[in-house]
Amino acid sequence: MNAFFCVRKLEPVGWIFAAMNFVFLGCAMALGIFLVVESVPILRSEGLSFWLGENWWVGESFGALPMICGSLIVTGLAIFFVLPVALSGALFTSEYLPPSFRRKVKGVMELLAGVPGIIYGLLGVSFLTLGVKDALNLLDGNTFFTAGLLLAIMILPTVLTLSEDALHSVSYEFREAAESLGLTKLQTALRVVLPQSLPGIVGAVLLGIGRAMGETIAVMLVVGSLDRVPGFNLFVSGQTIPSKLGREAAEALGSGLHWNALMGLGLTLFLVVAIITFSGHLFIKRCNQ
Amino acid sequence: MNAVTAEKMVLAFIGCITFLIVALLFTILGIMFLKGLPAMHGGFLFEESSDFGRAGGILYQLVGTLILMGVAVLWSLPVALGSVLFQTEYLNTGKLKTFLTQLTYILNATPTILFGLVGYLLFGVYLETGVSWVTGSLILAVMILPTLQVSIREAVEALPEKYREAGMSLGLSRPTQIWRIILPQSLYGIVTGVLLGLARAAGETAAIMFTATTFSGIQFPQSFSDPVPTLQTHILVLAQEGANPESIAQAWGAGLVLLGLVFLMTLMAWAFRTRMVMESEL
Amino acid sequence: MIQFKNFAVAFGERKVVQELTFSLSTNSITGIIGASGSGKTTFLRALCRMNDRINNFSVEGSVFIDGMDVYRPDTDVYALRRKVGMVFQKPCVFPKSIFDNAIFGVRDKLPKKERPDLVEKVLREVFLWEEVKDRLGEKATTLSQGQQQRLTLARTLAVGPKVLLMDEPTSSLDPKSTAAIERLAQSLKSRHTILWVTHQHDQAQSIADRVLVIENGQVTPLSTPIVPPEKSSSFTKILQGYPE
Repeated sequence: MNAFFCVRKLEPVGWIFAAMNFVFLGCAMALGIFLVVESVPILRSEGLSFWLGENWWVGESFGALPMICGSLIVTGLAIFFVLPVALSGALFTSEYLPPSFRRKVKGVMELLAGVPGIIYGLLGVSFLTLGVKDALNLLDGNTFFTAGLLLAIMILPTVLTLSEDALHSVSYEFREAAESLGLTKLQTALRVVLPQSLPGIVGAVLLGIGRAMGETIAVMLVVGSLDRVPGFNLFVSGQTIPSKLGREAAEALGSGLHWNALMGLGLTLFLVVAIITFSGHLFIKRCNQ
Repeated sequence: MNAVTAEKMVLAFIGCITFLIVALLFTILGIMFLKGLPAMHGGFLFEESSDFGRAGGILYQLVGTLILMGVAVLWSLPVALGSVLFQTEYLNTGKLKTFLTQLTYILNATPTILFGLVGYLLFGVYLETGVSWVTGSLILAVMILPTLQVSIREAVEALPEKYREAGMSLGLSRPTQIWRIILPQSLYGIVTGVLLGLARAAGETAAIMFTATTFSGIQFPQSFSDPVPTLQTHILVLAQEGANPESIAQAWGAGLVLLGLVFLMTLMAWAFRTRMVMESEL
Repeated sequence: MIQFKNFAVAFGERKVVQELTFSLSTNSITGIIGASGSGKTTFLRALCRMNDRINNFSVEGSVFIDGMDVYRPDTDVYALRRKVGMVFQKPCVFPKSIFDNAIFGVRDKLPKKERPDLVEKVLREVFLWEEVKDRLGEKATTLSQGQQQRLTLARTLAVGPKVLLMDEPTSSLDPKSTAAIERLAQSLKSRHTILWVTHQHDQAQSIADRVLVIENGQVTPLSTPIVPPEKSSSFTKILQGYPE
């Protein structure tokens, strides 16, 4: 046995545990393998133009560019909205709130993070799209902007609570040392605490990005579901990878090139999210050392 | 004095933002109650929906959601428990452990709709369960696996090494040690994990909307290959009938019930977590 | 320089210091000793209001430092802390360069081109300049514990304090570094008023001009040190082993 597979001696019960571990391993592996295998036909028939093609016409051509651009735009918007708000909240919670209030804020964040996507979708359909439509005098409130705003609200608790963890993990001694030099609390927070927790905050934002990219239901309901390569106008309808999958999975279920194309989209999304999440965890781990 | 004034202004500003963020939860709750309560007539929870969801109650939707989340946990718990115990109690090397932990994290972050896509192929097509509640619960089981694993692993790893050493010094075999020491001591982690897993399964729509559910026609599944109606997909369909006020009203009612279900699970998980933590500190 | 008038410090019900009326002269070293848990650290921290954020901490009476009423409500606590520097038990350098650490407290107030001079001045004051002058850009965390503690002292000196509060500054250091810090205190005495908390009687007696004992809330002066610092045998012995 090499070092990688060194296992203690197994009793019968141990074999059951090992089997369960293989079920887990199998599920995770199956996810990746199926995505790859089922994407092969579409990549073979479309090649690179699967990612660069602008037109998605079932039966003729499958170009994923509109969805890829849409996902990037919506995620970018969400991060743009969420960053200042989440960081302000994290800074205030970590540096200024007494411990009992801090725990309450964290509890509220955990509850908020648990609100189902469909509820956010319902709220988005009923209020946000109409609000955006009226405020900006648009014909249709289902836009990238609306989806970005809704996603920002959805990932806010994740980003806030994880960045707050990073800020809070900075040792108390550093704060005292800085304050004994006559720095104000805010100066201490900005010049000592923030730089030291930066990797953790980057990690928090990356995990938020990963979540935003994968959100299906809420985005699907407010993004307008229109396949086209967006220009620089954020106030038009569009499509993201998950919303496309959500819209078309039912009709393409299980077979045909259309299905393969959807799996190709899924693979693309999976790779991006996996890389972002993996690096997010690396950053957070570095912060905790 | 100028710097102090500036600092106070910044402080007031970020304080207000924090207050607004916290208020967000209560705004959402408030809206849900305001919009949802009118739909909650006497038998809302105990009547069938009728007229394509525009009238009646949500009995079978609620039942469908409960079936999916309950069965999903039944599938998921043994796998989560077994894999965590294997990783913590039997695996010696760090490399494989780190790899498996990373796998849990990646599975946790995977967009849920991908579980639907791949799960349909794996279960629906290859296990021939089709579009059914069995497929849906299996998909949800894989989806909530990381939630259960993380919670159980935290509890098991928080056990002080002295417990294991005490067990070893008494000559207990490893299975006895797990059964008599590790499982009882990490019970709160298992229960918290189960509750959080239930909450996560209850809130999920994307993974089950084309693999396990139907909008109407089915009341209670008669066989393994029947789809079920669920609260989540019920809301999804009704929400897209924006022009119809009755549909939207029903959607708010169903939404309130769903949110209540999810929050109930989360709050129960907290209660369990704090109670067990307090007991372990005694 | 430092005057206490009916000064009392308490943690909730527990009185750390009661009814202290006392004054300490300028440019002297005062040693403060007491058993662990006697509140000597709390007492020291009260002088630069580092306990402000602790919940049930309270003070009564007043204390004046260089004419400044420490606990008057309109006292600028940040100006106070710049006047009263504090060195902690464990050296706590920021994960930045040695240079940045040295000027940390005055960075915003000092024009860029005056910074190197100040850094050199304070590092010379703590006898660290020769050891680090070629690697000012390196991370301060690469220094030894003793060097780090001298760097935190330099960092405090750069702010220009009149009073230095030293909270067991040598307790985490080896004998050689301890001797260096003790010698340093002697050289700083000419310009600063130093309060030095320690739990070692012999250290207090060898370095301090007067020694105060904190016990059961009472602060009492110990009789004048019997052995003057320069003749303390253990102190000079260690000192001789230390390179100039």
